[in-house]
Amino acid sequence: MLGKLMKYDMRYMARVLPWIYAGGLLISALLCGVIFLIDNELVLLFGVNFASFLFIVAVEAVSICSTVFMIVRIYRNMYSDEGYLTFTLPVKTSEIVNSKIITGAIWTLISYVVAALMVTGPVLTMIYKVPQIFGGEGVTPLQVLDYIITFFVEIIRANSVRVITVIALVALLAIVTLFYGPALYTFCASATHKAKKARVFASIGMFAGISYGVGVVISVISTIVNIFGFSDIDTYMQGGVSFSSHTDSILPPVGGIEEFASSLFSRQLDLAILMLLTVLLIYVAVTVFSWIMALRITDKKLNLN
Amino acid sequence: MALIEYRNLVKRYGSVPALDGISLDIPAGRIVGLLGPNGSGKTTLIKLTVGLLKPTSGTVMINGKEPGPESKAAVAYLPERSYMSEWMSVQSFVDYFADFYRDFDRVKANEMLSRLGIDPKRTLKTLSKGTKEKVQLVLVMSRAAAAYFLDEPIAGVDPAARDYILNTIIRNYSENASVIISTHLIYDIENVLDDAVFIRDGRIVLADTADNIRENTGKSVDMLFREVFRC
Repeated sequence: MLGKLMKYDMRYMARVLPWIYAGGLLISALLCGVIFLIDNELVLLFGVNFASFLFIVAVEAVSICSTVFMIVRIYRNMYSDEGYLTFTLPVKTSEIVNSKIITGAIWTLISYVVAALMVTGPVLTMIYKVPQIFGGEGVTPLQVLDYIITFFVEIIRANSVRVITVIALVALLAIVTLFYGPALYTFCASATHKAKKARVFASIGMFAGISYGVGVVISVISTIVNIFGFSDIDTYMQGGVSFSSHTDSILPPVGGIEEFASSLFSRQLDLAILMLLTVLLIYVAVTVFSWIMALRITDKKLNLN
Repeated sequence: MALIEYRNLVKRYGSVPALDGISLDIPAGRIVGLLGPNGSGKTTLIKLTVGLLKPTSGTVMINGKEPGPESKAAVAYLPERSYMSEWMSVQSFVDYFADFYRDFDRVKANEMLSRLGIDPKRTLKTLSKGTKEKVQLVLVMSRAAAAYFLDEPIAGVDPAARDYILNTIIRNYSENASVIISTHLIYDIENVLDDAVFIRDGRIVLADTADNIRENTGKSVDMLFREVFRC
Protein backbone atom coordinates (compact mmCIF):
# COMPACT_ATOMS: atom_id res chain seq x y z
CA MET A 1 0.00 0.00 0.00
CA LEU A 2 2.93 2.34 0.64
CA GLY A 3 3.82 2.11 -3.05
CA LYS A 4 0.27 3.05 -4.05
CA LEU A 5 0.22 6.02 -1.68
CA MET A 6 3.58 7.17 -3.03
CA LYS A 7 2.33 6.83 -6.60
CA TYR A 8 -0.43 9.37 -5.95
CA ASP A 9 1.81 11.65 -3.88
CA MET A 10 4.43 11.63 -6.66
CA ARG A 11 1.75 12.30 -9.26
CA TYR A 12 0.46 15.31 -7.32
CA MET A 13 3.93 16.84 -6.98
CA ALA A 14 4.65 16.12 -10.66
CA ARG A 15 1.88 18.52 -11.63
CA VAL A 16 3.76 21.60 -10.51
CA LEU A 17 7.35 20.97 -9.39
CA PRO A 18 8.78 20.16 -12.87
CA TRP A 19 7.54 23.57 -14.04
CA ILE A 20 9.29 25.29 -11.14
CA TYR A 21 12.47 23.36 -11.94
CA ALA A 22 12.16 24.14 -15.65
CA GLY A 23 11.86 27.85 -14.77
CA GLY A 24 15.00 27.63 -12.62
CA LEU A 25 16.98 25.86 -15.33
CA LEU A 26 15.83 28.44 -17.89
CA ILE A 27 17.13 31.26 -15.67
CA SER A 28 20.40 29.36 -15.30
CA ALA A 29 20.68 28.93 -19.08
CA LEU A 30 20.03 32.65 -19.56
CA LEU A 31 22.78 33.49 -17.08
CA CYS A 32 25.16 31.15 -18.94
CA GLY A 33 24.30 33.00 -22.14
CA VAL A 34 24.91 36.40 -20.53
CA ILE A 35 28.32 35.34 -19.16
CA PHE A 36 29.28 33.74 -22.46
CA LEU A 37 28.42 36.82 -24.51
CA ILE A 38 30.23 39.34 -22.28
CA ASP A 39 33.63 40.40 -23.56
CA ASN A 40 34.14 43.55 -21.57
CA GLU A 41 35.79 43.60 -18.13
CA LEU A 42 33.58 46.40 -16.79
CA VAL A 43 30.36 44.88 -18.06
CA LEU A 44 31.50 41.59 -16.57
CA LEU A 45 31.94 43.16 -13.14
CA PHE A 46 28.54 44.85 -13.05
CA GLY A 47 26.53 42.53 -15.29
CA VAL A 48 27.65 39.27 -13.74
CA ASN A 49 27.36 40.61 -10.21
CA PHE A 50 23.80 41.75 -10.86
CA ALA A 51 22.89 38.56 -12.71
CA SER A 52 24.46 36.48 -9.95
CA PHE A 53 22.33 38.27 -7.38
CA LEU A 54 19.19 37.53 -9.39
CA PHE A 55 20.43 34.00 -9.86
CA ILE A 56 20.85 33.40 -6.12
CA VAL A 57 17.32 34.77 -5.64
CA ALA A 58 16.11 32.33 -8.32
CA VAL A 59 17.84 29.34 -6.66
CA GLU A 60 16.32 30.33 -3.31
CA ALA A 61 12.92 30.84 -4.95
CA VAL A 62 13.02 27.35 -6.48
CA SER A 63 13.89 25.89 -3.09
CA ILE A 64 11.25 27.89 -1.19
CA CYS A 65 8.51 27.26 -3.80
CA SER A 66 9.23 23.51 -3.72
CA THR A 67 9.12 23.44 0.07
CA VAL A 68 5.92 25.48 0.34
CA PHE A 69 4.30 23.34 -2.35
CA MET A 70 5.20 20.15 -0.47
CA ILE A 71 3.91 21.57 2.83
CA VAL A 72 0.62 22.55 1.20
CA ARG A 73 0.32 19.06 -0.34
CA ILE A 74 0.82 17.41 3.05
CA TYR A 75 -1.63 19.73 4.76
CA ARG A 76 -4.30 19.35 2.10
CA ASN A 77 -3.97 15.62 1.68
CA MET A 78 -3.88 14.86 5.39
CA TYR A 79 -5.62 17.61 7.30
CA SER A 80 -8.09 19.37 5.00
CA ASP A 81 -11.26 17.76 3.57
CA GLU A 82 -9.08 15.37 1.53
CA GLY A 83 -7.95 13.89 4.83
CA TYR A 84 -11.42 12.34 5.15
CA LEU A 85 -10.46 10.06 2.27
CA THR A 86 -6.76 9.68 3.10
CA PHE A 87 -7.37 8.53 6.66
CA THR A 88 -10.21 6.17 5.73
CA LEU A 89 -8.10 4.27 3.21
CA PRO A 90 -7.32 0.71 4.33
CA VAL A 91 -3.70 1.56 5.11
CA LYS A 92 -1.73 2.08 8.31
CA THR A 93 -1.43 5.70 9.36
CA SER A 94 2.34 5.14 9.45
CA GLU A 95 2.22 4.33 5.73
CA ILE A 96 0.49 7.66 5.05
CA VAL A 97 3.19 9.54 6.96
CA ASN A 98 6.03 7.49 5.45
CA SER A 99 4.66 8.04 1.95
CA LYS A 100 4.71 11.81 2.45
CA ILE A 101 8.25 11.80 3.87
CA ILE A 102 9.74 9.42 1.28
CA THR A 103 8.03 11.25 -1.60
CA GLY A 104 9.25 14.55 -0.15
CA ALA A 105 12.79 13.12 0.06
CA ILE A 106 12.66 12.01 -3.59
CA TRP A 107 11.53 15.47 -4.70
CA THR A 108 14.15 17.08 -2.45
CA LEU A 109 16.78 14.94 -4.21
CA ILE A 110 15.44 16.11 -7.57
CA SER A 111 15.56 19.71 -6.23
CA TYR A 112 19.22 19.18 -5.28
CA VAL A 113 20.03 17.88 -8.76
CA VAL A 114 18.22 20.82 -10.35
CA ALA A 115 19.94 23.30 -8.02
CA ALA A 116 23.31 21.67 -8.82
CA LEU A 117 22.59 21.94 -12.54
CA MET A 118 21.47 25.54 -12.07
CA VAL A 119 24.77 26.39 -10.38
CA THR A 120 27.05 24.17 -12.48
CA GLY A 121 26.13 25.77 -15.81
CA PRO A 122 27.05 29.36 -14.89
CA VAL A 123 30.11 28.24 -12.89
CA LEU A 124 31.49 26.24 -15.82
CA THR A 125 30.79 29.14 -18.14
CA MET A 126 32.63 31.49 -15.74
CA ILE A 127 35.61 29.13 -15.48
CA TYR A 128 35.74 29.00 -19.24
CA LYS A 129 35.06 32.64 -19.97
CA VAL A 130 36.59 34.78 -17.18
CA PRO A 131 40.27 33.89 -17.79
CA GLN A 132 39.74 34.70 -21.48
CA ILE A 133 38.51 38.20 -20.64
CA PHE A 134 41.63 38.76 -18.56
CA GLY A 135 43.83 37.51 -21.37
CA GLY A 136 44.30 33.97 -20.14
CA GLU A 137 43.10 30.63 -21.38
CA GLY A 138 39.71 29.35 -20.30
CA VAL A 139 39.23 25.95 -18.72
CA THR A 140 36.81 23.79 -20.68
CA PRO A 141 34.10 21.73 -18.95
CA LEU A 142 35.92 18.54 -20.04
CA GLN A 143 39.07 19.73 -18.27
CA VAL A 144 37.02 20.43 -15.13
CA LEU A 145 35.50 16.94 -15.31
CA ASP A 146 38.95 15.44 -15.77
CA TYR A 147 40.16 17.43 -12.77
CA ILE A 148 37.28 16.19 -10.57
CA ILE A 149 37.90 12.57 -11.56
CA THR A 150 41.64 12.91 -10.89
CA PHE A 151 40.93 14.58 -7.56
CA PHE A 152 38.78 11.71 -6.34
CA VAL A 153 41.10 9.06 -7.77
CA GLU A 154 43.95 10.65 -5.81
CA ILE A 155 41.85 10.72 -2.66
CA ILE A 156 41.22 7.00 -2.97
CA ARG A 157 44.91 6.35 -3.74
CA ALA A 158 46.08 8.52 -0.87
CA ASN A 159 43.83 6.52 1.47
CA SER A 160 43.72 9.45 3.87
CA VAL A 161 41.39 8.61 6.72
CA ARG A 162 40.64 12.26 7.35
CA VAL A 163 39.68 13.12 3.80
CA ILE A 164 37.64 9.95 3.33
CA THR A 165 35.88 10.61 6.65
CA VAL A 166 34.99 14.13 5.54
CA ILE A 167 33.62 12.83 2.24
CA ALA A 168 31.66 10.06 3.98
CA LEU A 169 30.20 12.54 6.47
CA VAL A 170 29.24 14.97 3.71
CA ALA A 171 27.52 12.11 1.85
CA LEU A 172 25.69 11.02 5.02
CA LEU A 173 24.66 14.59 5.73
CA ALA A 174 23.32 14.92 2.18
CA ILE A 175 21.23 11.77 2.65
CA VAL A 176 19.90 12.91 6.04
CA THR A 177 18.99 16.36 4.73
CA LEU A 178 16.85 14.70 2.04
CA PHE A 179 14.58 13.45 4.83
CA TYR A 180 15.07 16.37 7.23
CA GLY A 181 12.76 18.82 5.43
CA PRO A 182 9.94 16.38 4.60
CA ALA A 183 9.98 14.86 8.11
CA LEU A 184 10.00 18.29 9.73
CA TYR A 185 7.14 19.73 7.70
CA THR A 186 5.07 16.55 8.05
CA PHE A 187 5.51 16.96 11.81
CA CYS A 188 4.66 20.69 11.62
CA ALA A 189 1.51 20.04 9.57
CA SER A 190 0.50 17.28 12.01
CA ALA A 191 1.24 19.35 15.10
CA THR A 192 -0.81 22.31 13.87
CA HIS A 193 -3.76 20.38 12.43
CA LYS A 194 -5.89 21.06 15.48
CA ALA A 195 -5.40 24.84 15.24
CA LYS A 196 -8.73 26.64 14.85
CA LYS A 197 -7.67 28.74 11.87
CA ALA A 198 -4.77 29.53 9.48
CA ARG A 199 -3.43 26.01 9.83
CA VAL A 200 -1.30 26.16 6.67
CA PHE A 201 0.36 29.37 7.82
CA ALA A 202 0.81 27.92 11.29
CA SER A 203 2.56 24.85 9.85
CA ILE A 204 4.75 26.93 7.53
CA GLY A 205 5.57 29.30 10.40
CA MET A 206 6.46 26.40 12.70
CA PHE A 207 8.62 24.85 9.96
CA ALA A 208 10.42 28.14 9.30
CA GLY A 209 10.88 28.75 13.04
CA ILE A 210 12.39 25.33 13.76
CA SER A 211 14.59 25.51 10.63
CA TYR A 212 15.84 28.93 11.69
CA GLY A 213 16.45 27.66 15.23
CA VAL A 214 18.46 24.71 13.91
CA GLY A 215 20.45 27.13 11.73
CA VAL A 216 21.22 29.35 14.71
CA VAL A 217 22.33 26.39 16.85
CA ILE A 218 24.62 25.16 14.06
CA SER A 219 26.10 28.66 13.61
CA VAL A 220 26.78 29.00 17.34
CA ILE A 221 28.44 25.57 17.51
CA SER A 222 30.43 26.34 14.36
CA THR A 223 31.72 29.59 15.87
CA ILE A 224 32.63 27.89 19.15
CA VAL A 225 34.44 25.05 17.36
CA ASN A 226 36.34 27.52 15.18
CA ILE A 227 37.39 29.76 18.06
CA PHE A 228 38.30 27.07 20.58
CA GLY A 229 39.52 24.61 17.96
CA PHE A 230 42.59 26.70 17.16
CA SER A 231 45.35 27.44 19.61
CA ASP A 232 45.80 31.03 18.46
CA ILE A 233 43.97 33.60 16.42
CA ASP A 234 46.53 33.54 13.60
CA THR A 235 45.84 29.88 12.95
CA TYR A 236 42.13 30.62 13.15
CA MET A 237 42.54 33.30 10.51
CA GLN A 238 44.49 30.87 8.36
CA GLY A 239 41.56 28.51 8.69
CA GLY A 240 39.59 30.89 6.56
CA VAL A 241 42.14 30.84 3.78
CA SER A 242 40.91 29.03 0.73
CA PHE A 243 42.72 26.41 -1.29
CA SER A 244 43.38 28.98 -3.99
CA SER A 245 45.82 30.90 -1.76
CA HIS A 246 48.22 27.98 -2.10
CA THR A 247 48.12 27.82 -5.84
CA ASP A 248 48.11 30.10 -8.82
CA SER A 249 45.49 28.00 -10.55
CA ILE A 250 41.82 28.90 -10.45
CA LEU A 251 41.20 25.32 -9.28
CA PRO A 252 42.51 23.78 -6.03
CA PRO A 253 45.64 21.61 -6.23
CA VAL A 254 45.10 18.04 -7.30
CA GLY A 255 48.41 16.44 -6.54
CA GLY A 256 49.70 15.39 -3.14
CA ILE A 257 46.45 14.62 -1.38
CA GLU A 258 48.36 12.71 1.31
CA GLU A 259 50.60 15.68 1.92
CA PHE A 260 47.60 17.98 1.82
CA ALA A 261 45.75 15.83 4.36
CA SER A 262 48.63 15.82 6.83
CA SER A 263 49.69 19.42 6.31
CA LEU A 264 48.35 22.68 7.69
CA PHE A 265 44.90 21.47 6.65
CA SER A 266 44.93 18.42 8.86
CA ARG A 267 43.86 20.63 11.75
CA GLN A 268 41.12 22.08 9.57
CA LEU A 269 40.04 18.61 8.49
CA ASP A 270 39.78 17.52 12.11
CA LEU A 271 37.60 20.52 12.79
CA ALA A 272 35.60 19.84 9.66
CA ILE A 273 35.00 16.28 10.88
CA LEU A 274 33.94 17.58 14.29
CA MET A 275 31.64 20.15 12.75
CA LEU A 276 30.15 17.69 10.26
CA LEU A 277 29.53 15.16 13.02
CA THR A 278 27.82 17.81 15.14
CA VAL A 279 25.67 19.03 12.26
CA LEU A 280 24.87 15.44 11.29
CA LEU A 281 23.79 14.63 14.83
CA ILE A 282 21.56 17.71 14.99
CA TYR A 283 19.93 16.91 11.65
CA VAL A 284 19.49 13.23 12.55
CA ALA A 285 17.98 14.17 15.94
CA VAL A 286 15.50 16.68 14.42
CA THR A 287 14.59 14.28 11.57
CA VAL A 288 14.02 11.28 13.84
CA PHE A 289 12.11 13.37 16.41
CA SER A 290 9.90 14.89 13.67
CA TRP A 291 9.26 11.51 12.06
CA ILE A 292 8.32 9.87 15.37
CA MET A 293 6.10 12.78 16.41
CA ALA A 294 4.31 12.84 13.03
CA LEU A 295 3.63 9.10 13.36
CA ARG A 296 2.46 9.50 16.95
CA ILE A 297 0.13 12.43 16.22
CA THR A 298 -1.53 10.72 13.25
CA ASP A 299 -1.83 7.42 15.08
CA LYS A 300 -2.93 8.60 18.53
CA LYS A 301 -4.07 12.21 18.30
CA LEU A 302 -5.76 12.50 14.93
CA ASN A 303 -8.67 14.91 15.12
CA LEU A 304 -10.20 15.81 11.77
CA ASN A 305 -12.92 18.34 12.40
CA MET B 1 -21.68 -10.94 17.27
CA ALA B 2 -22.82 -7.49 16.14
CA LEU B 3 -21.17 -6.03 13.08
CA ILE B 4 -20.46 -2.80 14.95
CA GLU B 5 -20.19 -2.48 18.71
CA TYR B 6 -19.88 0.70 20.74
CA ARG B 7 -19.08 0.37 24.43
CA ASN B 8 -19.15 3.33 26.83
CA LEU B 9 -17.86 5.54 24.06
CA VAL B 10 -16.85 9.01 25.18
CA LYS B 11 -15.46 11.80 23.04
CA ARG B 12 -14.61 15.22 24.39
CA TYR B 13 -13.31 18.24 22.52
CA GLY B 14 -11.32 19.85 25.28
CA SER B 15 -13.79 19.94 28.14
CA VAL B 16 -16.84 19.87 25.86
CA PRO B 17 -18.41 16.41 25.63
CA ALA B 18 -19.50 15.41 22.12
CA LEU B 19 -20.37 11.81 23.01
CA ASP B 20 -21.14 10.78 26.53
CA GLY B 21 -21.04 7.03 27.12
CA ILE B 22 -22.55 5.57 23.95
CA SER B 23 -23.20 1.80 24.03
CA LEU B 24 -24.87 0.31 20.97
CA ASP B 25 -24.80 -2.79 18.77
CA ILE B 26 -25.49 -2.63 15.05
CA PRO B 27 -26.13 -6.05 13.52
CA ALA B 28 -25.35 -6.97 9.90
CA GLY B 29 -27.93 -6.53 7.16
CA ARG B 30 -29.79 -3.54 8.62
CA ILE B 31 -30.47 -0.01 7.44
CA VAL B 32 -30.05 2.18 10.49
CA GLY B 33 -31.04 5.81 10.81
CA LEU B 34 -28.75 7.76 13.11
CA LEU B 35 -31.14 10.57 13.90
CA GLY B 36 -30.66 13.73 15.85
CA PRO B 37 -30.56 17.50 15.54
CA ASN B 38 -27.43 19.37 14.47
CA GLY B 39 -24.66 19.07 17.05
CA SER B 40 -26.13 15.99 18.69
CA GLY B 41 -23.01 13.87 18.05
CA LYS B 42 -24.01 11.90 14.92
CA THR B 43 -20.99 12.94 12.86
CA THR B 44 -18.62 12.44 15.80
CA LEU B 45 -19.93 8.88 16.24
CA ILE B 46 -19.35 8.14 12.55
CA LYS B 47 -15.89 9.74 12.55
CA LEU B 48 -14.90 7.60 15.53
CA THR B 49 -16.12 4.51 13.68
CA VAL B 50 -14.17 5.22 10.50
CA GLY B 51 -11.01 6.22 12.35
CA LEU B 52 -10.97 9.97 11.75
CA LEU B 53 -11.14 10.66 15.47
CA LYS B 54 -9.74 8.88 18.49
CA PRO B 55 -12.12 8.25 21.41
CA THR B 56 -11.44 9.86 24.77
CA SER B 57 -12.51 6.55 26.34
CA GLY B 58 -14.55 3.50 25.46
CA THR B 59 -14.30 1.27 22.42
CA VAL B 60 -15.54 0.93 18.86
CA MET B 61 -15.33 -2.51 17.26
CA ILE B 62 -16.06 -3.29 13.63
CA ASN B 63 -16.20 -7.01 12.90
CA GLY B 64 -14.47 -7.46 16.26
CA LYS B 65 -11.62 -5.13 15.38
CA GLU B 66 -10.75 -1.60 16.45
CA PRO B 67 -10.67 1.02 13.66
CA GLY B 68 -7.58 0.30 11.57
CA PRO B 69 -6.60 -0.89 8.08
CA GLU B 70 -8.74 -4.06 8.35
CA SER B 71 -11.87 -2.26 9.52
CA LYS B 72 -11.35 0.49 6.95
CA ALA B 73 -11.21 -2.15 4.22
CA ALA B 74 -14.67 -3.29 5.34
CA VAL B 75 -16.28 0.12 5.83
CA ALA B 76 -17.41 2.52 3.11
CA TYR B 77 -17.70 6.13 4.25
CA LEU B 78 -19.50 9.04 2.66
CA PRO B 79 -18.75 12.26 4.56
CA GLU B 80 -20.96 15.32 4.47
CA ARG B 81 -18.30 17.17 2.48
CA SER B 82 -16.32 16.53 -0.69
CA TYR B 83 -13.10 14.68 0.06
CA MET B 84 -11.90 14.51 -3.51
CA SER B 85 -8.92 16.47 -4.84
CA GLU B 86 -10.11 19.09 -7.28
CA TRP B 87 -7.24 18.51 -9.72
CA MET B 88 -8.03 14.84 -10.28
CA SER B 89 -10.37 13.57 -12.97
CA VAL B 90 -13.39 11.39 -12.25
CA GLN B 91 -11.58 8.49 -13.95
CA SER B 92 -8.54 9.03 -11.71
CA PHE B 93 -10.80 8.64 -8.71
CA VAL B 94 -12.26 5.42 -10.09
CA ASP B 95 -8.66 4.19 -10.48
CA TYR B 96 -7.83 5.45 -6.99
CA PHE B 97 -10.69 3.53 -5.37
CA ALA B 98 -9.85 0.43 -7.46
CA ASP B 99 -6.23 0.71 -6.29
CA PHE B 100 -7.02 0.87 -2.59
CA TYR B 101 -10.28 -1.02 -2.10
CA ARG B 102 -10.40 -4.69 -3.08
CA ASP B 103 -14.19 -4.66 -2.87
CA PHE B 104 -14.51 -1.80 -5.38
CA ASP B 105 -16.42 -2.69 -8.55
CA ARG B 106 -14.99 -0.59 -11.36
CA VAL B 107 -17.56 -1.78 -13.92
CA LYS B 108 -20.42 -0.86 -11.61
CA ALA B 109 -18.93 2.58 -10.98
CA ASN B 110 -18.47 3.27 -14.67
CA GLU B 111 -22.03 2.14 -15.42
CA MET B 112 -23.45 4.42 -12.74
CA LEU B 113 -21.38 7.35 -13.97
CA SER B 114 -22.49 6.66 -17.52
CA ARG B 115 -26.17 6.61 -16.47
CA LEU B 116 -25.65 9.97 -14.81
CA GLY B 117 -24.03 11.31 -17.98
CA ILE B 118 -20.80 12.23 -16.17
CA ASP B 119 -17.76 12.34 -18.42
CA PRO B 120 -14.99 10.43 -16.57
CA LYS B 121 -12.34 12.61 -18.19
CA ARG B 122 -13.58 15.77 -16.48
CA THR B 123 -11.67 17.03 -13.50
CA LEU B 124 -13.50 17.58 -10.23
CA LYS B 125 -12.99 21.34 -10.35
CA THR B 126 -15.09 21.52 -13.53
CA LEU B 127 -18.07 19.77 -11.92
CA SER B 128 -20.92 21.38 -10.02
CA LYS B 129 -21.30 20.76 -6.28
CA GLY B 130 -24.24 18.43 -6.90
CA THR B 131 -22.37 16.41 -9.52
CA LYS B 132 -19.37 16.05 -7.22
CA GLU B 133 -21.67 14.68 -4.52
CA LYS B 134 -23.08 12.20 -7.00
CA VAL B 135 -19.58 11.08 -8.07
CA GLN B 136 -18.64 10.58 -4.44
CA LEU B 137 -21.82 8.59 -3.81
CA VAL B 138 -21.18 6.43 -6.90
CA LEU B 139 -17.65 5.66 -5.70
CA VAL B 140 -18.79 4.74 -2.20
CA MET B 141 -21.74 2.65 -3.33
CA SER B 142 -19.61 0.78 -5.90
CA ARG B 143 -17.91 -0.96 -3.03
CA ALA B 144 -19.12 -4.29 -1.67
CA ALA B 145 -18.46 -3.17 1.91
CA ALA B 146 -19.67 -4.77 5.13
CA ALA B 147 -20.91 -1.42 6.41
CA TYR B 148 -21.73 1.89 4.77
CA PHE B 149 -21.58 5.04 6.86
CA LEU B 150 -23.37 7.86 5.09
CA ASP B 151 -23.14 11.18 6.89
CA GLU B 152 -25.98 13.54 5.92
CA PRO B 153 -26.19 12.20 2.35
CA ILE B 154 -29.39 14.08 1.55
CA ALA B 155 -28.74 17.36 3.32
CA GLY B 156 -28.75 20.44 1.14
CA VAL B 157 -29.97 18.77 -2.06
CA ASP B 158 -33.22 19.20 -3.95
CA PRO B 159 -36.02 16.57 -3.66
CA ALA B 160 -35.20 15.01 -7.05
CA ALA B 161 -31.57 14.58 -6.06
CA ARG B 162 -32.69 13.12 -2.71
CA ASP B 163 -34.69 10.47 -4.55
CA TYR B 164 -31.71 9.67 -6.74
CA ILE B 165 -29.38 9.40 -3.73
CA LEU B 166 -31.73 7.18 -1.73
CA ASN B 167 -32.44 4.95 -4.72
CA THR B 168 -28.72 4.62 -5.38
CA ILE B 169 -28.12 3.60 -1.78
CA ILE B 170 -30.96 1.10 -1.67
CA ARG B 171 -30.15 -0.49 -5.02
CA ASN B 172 -26.43 -0.78 -4.54
CA TYR B 173 -25.55 -1.74 -1.00
CA SER B 174 -24.37 -5.30 -0.48
CA GLU B 175 -27.04 -7.70 0.72
CA ASN B 176 -25.50 -8.60 4.08
CA ALA B 177 -24.14 -5.16 4.76
CA SER B 178 -25.42 -2.58 7.18
CA VAL B 179 -26.13 0.96 6.09
CA ILE B 180 -25.91 3.67 8.71
CA ILE B 181 -27.46 6.93 7.55
CA SER B 182 -27.00 10.03 9.64
CA THR B 183 -29.62 12.69 9.07
CA HIS B 184 -32.16 15.01 10.60
CA LEU B 185 -34.39 14.77 7.51
CA ILE B 186 -36.34 11.74 8.78
CA TYR B 187 -39.37 12.08 6.55
CA ASP B 188 -37.34 11.38 3.42
CA ILE B 189 -35.70 8.23 4.68
CA GLU B 190 -38.25 6.74 7.07
CA ASN B 191 -39.55 4.27 4.50
CA VAL B 192 -36.17 2.65 4.01
CA LEU B 193 -35.15 2.39 7.68
CA ASP B 194 -35.05 -0.90 9.55
CA ASP B 195 -33.82 0.67 12.78
CA ALA B 196 -33.71 4.13 14.25
CA VAL B 197 -31.28 5.53 16.81
CA PHE B 198 -32.16 8.88 18.36
CA ILE B 199 -29.18 10.77 19.64
CA ARG B 200 -29.17 13.98 21.67
CA ASP B 201 -26.32 15.79 23.41
CA GLY B 202 -24.03 12.84 22.79
CA ARG B 203 -26.36 10.30 24.36
CA ILE B 204 -28.68 7.71 22.87
CA VAL B 205 -32.26 8.48 23.84
CA LEU B 206 -33.89 5.74 21.78
CA ALA B 207 -32.70 2.73 19.79
CA ASP B 208 -35.28 0.39 18.33
CA THR B 209 -36.59 -1.02 15.09
CA ALA B 210 -38.72 1.33 13.01
CA ASP B 211 -41.59 -1.14 13.17
CA ASN B 212 -41.46 -1.31 16.97
CA ILE B 213 -41.42 2.47 17.21
CA ARG B 214 -44.51 2.76 15.05
CA GLU B 215 -46.26 -0.09 16.85
CA ASN B 216 -45.43 1.01 20.38
CA THR B 217 -46.01 4.73 19.99
CA GLY B 218 -48.62 4.77 17.26
CA LYS B 219 -46.53 7.41 15.53
CA SER B 220 -44.22 7.47 12.59
CA VAL B 221 -40.48 7.76 13.30
CA ASP B 222 -40.62 11.27 11.86
CA MET B 223 -43.47 12.32 14.13
CA LEU B 224 -41.79 10.85 17.19
CA PHE B 225 -38.53 12.59 16.25
CA ARG B 226 -40.33 15.94 16.06
CA GLU B 227 -41.91 15.28 19.45
CA VAL B 228 -38.69 14.16 21.16
CA PHE B 229 -36.57 16.95 19.72
CA ARG B 230 -39.13 19.76 19.90
CA CYS B 231 -37.43 23.04 20.78
